[in-house]
Amino acid sequence: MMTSAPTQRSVLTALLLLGVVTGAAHDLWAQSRSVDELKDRYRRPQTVPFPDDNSFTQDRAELGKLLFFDPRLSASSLVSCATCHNPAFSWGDGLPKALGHGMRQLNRRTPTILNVAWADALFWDGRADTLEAQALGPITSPDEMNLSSQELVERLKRVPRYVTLFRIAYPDENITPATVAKALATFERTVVSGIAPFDEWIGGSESAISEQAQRGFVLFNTKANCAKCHRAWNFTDSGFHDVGVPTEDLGRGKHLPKLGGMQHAFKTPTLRNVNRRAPYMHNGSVATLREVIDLYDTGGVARPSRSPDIRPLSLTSDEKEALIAFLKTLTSVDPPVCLPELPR
Amino acid sequence: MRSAVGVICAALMVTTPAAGADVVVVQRNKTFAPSEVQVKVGDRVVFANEDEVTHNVYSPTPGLEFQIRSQQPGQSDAVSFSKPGALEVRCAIHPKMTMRVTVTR
Ligand code: HEC
Ligand code: HEC
Ligand SMILES: [Cu+2]
Repeated sequence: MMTSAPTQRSVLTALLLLGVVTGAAHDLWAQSRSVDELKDRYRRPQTVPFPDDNSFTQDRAELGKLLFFDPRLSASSLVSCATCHNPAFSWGDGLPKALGHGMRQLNRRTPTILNVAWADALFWDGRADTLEAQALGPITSPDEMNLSSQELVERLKRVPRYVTLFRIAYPDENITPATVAKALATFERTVVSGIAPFDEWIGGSESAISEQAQRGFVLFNTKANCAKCHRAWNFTDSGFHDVGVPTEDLGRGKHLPKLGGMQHAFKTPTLRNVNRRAPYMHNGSVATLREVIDLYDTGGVARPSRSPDIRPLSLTSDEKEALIAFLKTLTSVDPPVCLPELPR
Repeated sequence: MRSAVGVICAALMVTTPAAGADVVVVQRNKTFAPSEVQVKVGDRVVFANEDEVTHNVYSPTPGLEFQIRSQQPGQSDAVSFSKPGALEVRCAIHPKMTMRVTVTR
């Protein structure tokens, strides 16, 4: 019997029930489950998925890393993938909207490439199916790196070490736009967020995150309804939703114009290392995590396309702080990324 | 030409006698089960969301397009097919969710 000081778990269970009573009645799934059952949903996978037609080898990953950091993949020889997907900013650029070729501003914010190995579709609007299909996009786009695929291949062939490395990584395939894309994709799949305090807590270390953050976790799964979309260890359902961010951008709706629910719909981003990746949303329009929570609390722009899972939340200021404390536990302290020495 | 496919609310279906047979396709763990069904013209396929998340079923197949509402967990909707053909059925929210409905005379 628990008569004296309740254990941490019973406090949480009580909170969980409270959350259900006060506002998350639709979350049937959360009602009957204890915190331990909730935690079970957040265990990290043991392995990274690689496709059969581009399986992992160390040589491919290393070649991909060179290409990712090599500005010669751009017309100006000034812009590499890492210019925008900068490991020092958790693989984003810290800008509201990306700056491309000739400092031209793009329409959207640079997403992190953390955990893209698990993505079901790429880009904010899901217009690419695989990393291999995505990788040449930025290189040849006039707004981004502005290099034709022909010039790309010619440039790489002029560097003897690249010729050798491609031969080792893709023996039967030579240097082609396809092998450049495959090597880049292999490297990108190795970019996985590290163990965060949250993972240690999930793994059983009760004190790895504060009690406030633990309350935030429960709110995240109940009253605040966040886990409806930000699911499992990578905090995404790989789905597309209009969450009410003020925007003119149709997002996935541009590709699915007849589907009401896809207008202004964007891919659910991972929340890993999220406090290191401001400003937020597809257009970088939300400056801080506090403002993100405030936006969700109001439900954002109520338009026909807005997801049925978005609604005003009536969060107290304590609850907002708890959610933010929880989000901060998703950030890992990783060893610094070493820049590769590029072949000349 | 407008899509010849009608959309009927599941609640309605239960109370009105069905013209054809019903085949049930459930959505669970972001997958359709079964992933392929065969029906006859006039039959209905009931799409039931037995998942924990919202889904949004539609078909982009030219001439046979249909879409149903965003389905919350527990909701289901029936679609009746008045033309033969092979439809690709997808979820708008989760691009990896796909299945096939073949409609024969
Ligand atoms: C000028 C800045 C810039 C450069 C250079 C750049 N990207 Fe991006 N990247 C972006 C932006 C902006 C988006 C989002 C575009 C959209 O969704 O419409 C994006 C999206 C992506 C995505 C999709 C991520 C997701 O979660 O959907 C991947 C993967 C990616 N880039 C990889 C690369 C690779 C590989 C390179 C180098 C070949 C590269 N990027 C070069 C800005 C850049
Ligand atoms: C209906 C699905 C859905 C729900 C519910 C939801 N989110 Fe989101 N979240 C998204 C989508 C989609 C985006 C990107 C929206 C955009 O860019 O317009 C997003 C963006 C974010 C971002 C910005 C991340 C970045 O890299 O830009 C944060 C932080 C966030 N959500 C936290 C939360 C929290 C906390 C909750 C609960 C209060 C929540 N979300 C509820 C789908 C959802
Ligand atoms: Cu779905």
